[in-house]
Amino acid sequence: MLRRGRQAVADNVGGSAAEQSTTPKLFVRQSSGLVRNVSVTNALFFNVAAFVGVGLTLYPAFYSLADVSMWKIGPFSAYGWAAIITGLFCVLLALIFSSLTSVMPRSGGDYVFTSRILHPFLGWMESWTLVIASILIIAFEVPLVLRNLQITARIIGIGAGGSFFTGANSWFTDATGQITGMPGFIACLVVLLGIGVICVLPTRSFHRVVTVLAGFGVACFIAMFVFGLLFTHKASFDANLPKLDGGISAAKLVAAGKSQALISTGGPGLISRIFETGAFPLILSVLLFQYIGFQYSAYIAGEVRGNVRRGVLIALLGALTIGVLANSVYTDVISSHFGFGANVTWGSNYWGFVTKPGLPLGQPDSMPLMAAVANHSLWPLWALISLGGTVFPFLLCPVYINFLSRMQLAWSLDRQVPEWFGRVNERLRAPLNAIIATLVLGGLFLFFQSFKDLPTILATSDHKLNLVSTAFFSIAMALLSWVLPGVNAMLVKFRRPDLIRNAPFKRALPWLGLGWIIFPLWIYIFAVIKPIVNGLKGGNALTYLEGQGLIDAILFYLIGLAIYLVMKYRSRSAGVDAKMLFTELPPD
Amino acid sequence: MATRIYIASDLHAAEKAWRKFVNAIKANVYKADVALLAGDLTGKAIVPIIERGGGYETELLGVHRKAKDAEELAVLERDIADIGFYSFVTTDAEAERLAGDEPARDELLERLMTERVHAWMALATERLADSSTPLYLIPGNDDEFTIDEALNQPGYGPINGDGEVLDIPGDLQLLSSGWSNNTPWATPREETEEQLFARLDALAAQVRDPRRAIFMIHVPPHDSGLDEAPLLDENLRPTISAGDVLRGPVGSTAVRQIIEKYQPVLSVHGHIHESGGERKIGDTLAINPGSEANHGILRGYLIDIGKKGVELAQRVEG
Repeated sequence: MLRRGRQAVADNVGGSAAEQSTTPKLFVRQSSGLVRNVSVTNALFFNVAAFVGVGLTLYPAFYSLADVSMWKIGPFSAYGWAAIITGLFCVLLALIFSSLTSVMPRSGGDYVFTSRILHPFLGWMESWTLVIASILIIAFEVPLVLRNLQITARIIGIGAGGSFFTGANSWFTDATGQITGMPGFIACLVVLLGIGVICVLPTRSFHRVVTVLAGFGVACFIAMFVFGLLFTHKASFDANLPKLDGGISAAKLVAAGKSQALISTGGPGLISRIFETGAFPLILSVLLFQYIGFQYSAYIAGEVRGNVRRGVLIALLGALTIGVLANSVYTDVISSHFGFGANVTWGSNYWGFVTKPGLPLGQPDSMPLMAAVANHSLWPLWALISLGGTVFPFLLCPVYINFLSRMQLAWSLDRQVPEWFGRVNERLRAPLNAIIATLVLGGLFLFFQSFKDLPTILATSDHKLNLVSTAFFSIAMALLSWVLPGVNAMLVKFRRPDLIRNAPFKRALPWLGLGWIIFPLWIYIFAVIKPIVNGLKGGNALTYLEGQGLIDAILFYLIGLAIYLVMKYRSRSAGVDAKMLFTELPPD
Repeated sequence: MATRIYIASDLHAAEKAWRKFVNAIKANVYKADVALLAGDLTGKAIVPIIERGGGYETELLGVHRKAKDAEELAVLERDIADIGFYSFVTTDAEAERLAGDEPARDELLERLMTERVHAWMALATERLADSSTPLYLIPGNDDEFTIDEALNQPGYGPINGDGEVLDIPGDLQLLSSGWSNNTPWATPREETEEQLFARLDALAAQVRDPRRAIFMIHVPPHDSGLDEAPLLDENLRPTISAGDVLRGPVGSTAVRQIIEKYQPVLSVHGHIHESGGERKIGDTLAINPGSEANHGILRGYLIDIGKKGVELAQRVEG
C-alpha cells in the first residue's frame, strides 16, 4: 500500500476554487488506499511543544544570557529585534527545509539531506553535533523545571503564606542557593526519570500526555499575556518588590544595571546597532539557541501532504511566527509592563554575571512571579501559569528525545552507529537503546552541572558546567546544524539534481541557501570565533574556553570524528560497502 | 561464496525508480546474483493533461504546469510518470465527462496500468539481455489482475514468481506471493488471514529446505516493526495526536505464523512504505526495503546468503 503518495493525491483533488476552475482534477483510483491529508494545525501543535521550553515564563531572563548591554529602540528590546531578525532569516531556512523535506520526507531530517547531498561524514557530524546540542538543551531545561517548581511555590507563599512555600528557594539547592550539588542532582535525576517514563510510554499514551501538557502550556501562555497585562500594574510591582525581597527595589535594579553597563542608554540608532559586530551577534546567537527546536518542526513538513507549497508554508511559517511573537511581542510587552531595566539586571543577576544588588526573591525574573508581586490576590492564577512554565520545559524534553531517537534510528540503518543502537523495541515500537543513551548522556551533563568533577583540562576555574556554559556549549555544537542546510540548498542542484526535479522552490534553492548561510556565518564569526580569538589573546585562554563550554564542544567534535572512523573500519571489516549505500543510480 | 540478493519493492508505477532498478542490475552496481521486486507495480491516479490553445496544461502536486509543444509535453509526461502517476492528453470536455463517469475512469486506469507494465517489462528485457542476474518479481495487493497478462507474457525477461516455488541461483528456493490480508481499501489481491495462511502453507509445503529458502511475500508479518503504518479513524483519516501521526502494526498474522512455522533463511516484504528495516523472527531475517519510489528514490536491501545462512544485510538506496 502507498500512504504518503495517496495523501498527496487526495489533497490535490481539492485545491482552491480558482485552481479548480482552470485546471483539471486528478482522477484517483477507488481502491487507492488513500489516507487523507494530515492537518497542518496538528503539526503546529507539535512545534509549540518543540521549541518554547522555559520561555513561557522565563523569556525576560534571556535578555541577559549573552552578557552584553541590552537596549530598547521603538517597541522592542535588542532581544526582541534579534528575535524578529532571526525569524526573518529563518523564513529562508523554513523554505529550504520545506523544499527538501518534500522530496526526502524521512525520519532523520538534516542527517538524511546532508549525507545524500554532500557527504555521509558531514551528515554524521552535523547530526551528531545537533544531538549533543539538543541533549545539552535538555540538561539546560531540567534544572529550570525545578526552578519553576520553586517559583510556583514562592508564588503560593506570596499569596497564601506558609513557611513550606515561602522557603521554597531552598528546595533542591545546596548552600549557594543554586540547584546543584547532591540535592540538585538528585532532583534533576527525578525529573529526568519522569521524562524517561514519558518517552517509553506506548505511542498513544505518549501523544496523549504531550497533547494534554502542551494544551495546558498554551493556555498558560495566553493567560499570562492577557491577565498579566489586565490585572497587574507597574506601580504595585515597584511598591511591593522591596517588601518581599529584603529591600531590593526595581529602581535599585535599574540603577545597578545602568552603572554596570547592563542597560544601554543612548547610543547609535537601530540600523547601526543591528550591524555592529560586538554585542548584537551574541544576542542573535541566544535567539538561535531559542529557535533550535524549529528545525525539528521543519521535518514535520514532510508529513503534511497535498499541495506541498501551501501545507509547508502554513506549518513552518506558522511555527516560526509563534516563535517570533513569543520572543518579541510577548516578552517585550510583559517585561516593559513591569520595567525593562529591572528585568535586564534581574536576569543578569540570575545568570551570575553581576552580584549587586542581589537576586530579587532568589529567583529569575519569572513573569508570573512578577505578576504575583504586583497583585497578591490573584496568586492562584499566577501559580497555575507558573506551573505551566514548569510543564513546558519538562514537555520539551520527551519531544526532543522522541525526535532524536528518529535520527539515531536513521544512523543505525546507515551503519553510522552499531545496529543494536537503533534497534526498535517491539513492545514500545521505539528505539529504546537510543532513548536510554540520550537519557544517560543528559544525566551525565546534569552530573557535571552539579558536581565539580570535570578534569582541569575541561574546567580550569570551577571544574563544572554551569547553565551559561551549557548554553554556549550547545550553541557551539549547533554550528553545522545551522550552516549546512544553506550549503545543501546551494549545492543540491549540482550534487543530486534527480532528487529535486519536482521540489517546491527548486529554482530558488541556491539563492535561498546563499541568503540563509550569511546569517549563521555572521553570528558564528562575530559571536563565537571573534570572542574566542579575543579570549585567547587575553592571557586566560583556557579559562575563557572552559567558561564558554568551548573545550567541551571541541571534545565532542573529536568524539564524533572518532565514532565515524571506528564505524567506518567496523563496517569495512564486516564486508559492508558504505559507498553502495549512497550510490546514485542513473535512471536513463 | 555467498549469494547476493538485491531487493526492492513497491515501485507503484514510478518510472524513475523502475529505471534505476533496472540500471542497477544491468550495471551490476551491487554485484548481485539475484534481484527481487516484492510487489505493487502499479500506480494510483491519472493526471489529465488538457490540450488548450495550442499548448498543454495540468496541475501536478499543487503546481500548475504548462507545456507549449510536443517536446515540453514529453518532459511533463515523464515528470508525472516519475512520481508514479499516469497521464493522458485530453480536452476540457472529455476530462469533465470522465470526472463524472467512474467506470470509464477505471477502464482508462486499467489500460494505462497495463501499458506501463508492458513498457517496463519490455525495457527490462532489452536492458537486461546481457545480464547474468535474473529478476524475479510479483504483483502486490494493489495490482489489478489485468496486469498479470503483461507479467506472464512469453519473451519478457523478468520472471513473475507469484504463487510458485522456484529454484534460483545459490542453491536457493524462492516462494512468492503477492496477496495480503484484508485492508480498509478493498484492494484486488487481499483475503482473510485464514485464507492467506492456507495459500502460503500450501506453497511452503513445496519447499525442500526452509533454511535454503527465501519467502517473498508482499505483506510483512504482523507486529514485526516492518508493518508500522498510520492508524486510521472511522473515516480512514490518520489518527493524529500532538501533531504526530499515530502508527501501529497492520501486517499479517498469517505471514507471521508461516515464518514462525517454517523459519526460512530470509523473508522479503514490502507493502508498508514507511516501515523499512530488518528484524529477526526466530531464525528468519525479515526485511522490508520500504519505498520512496514516488520521490524518485530507490530503496533496497542487499542480503548475502552463504552456506550457514545470512552473512550480510545492507540497506542501499539510489
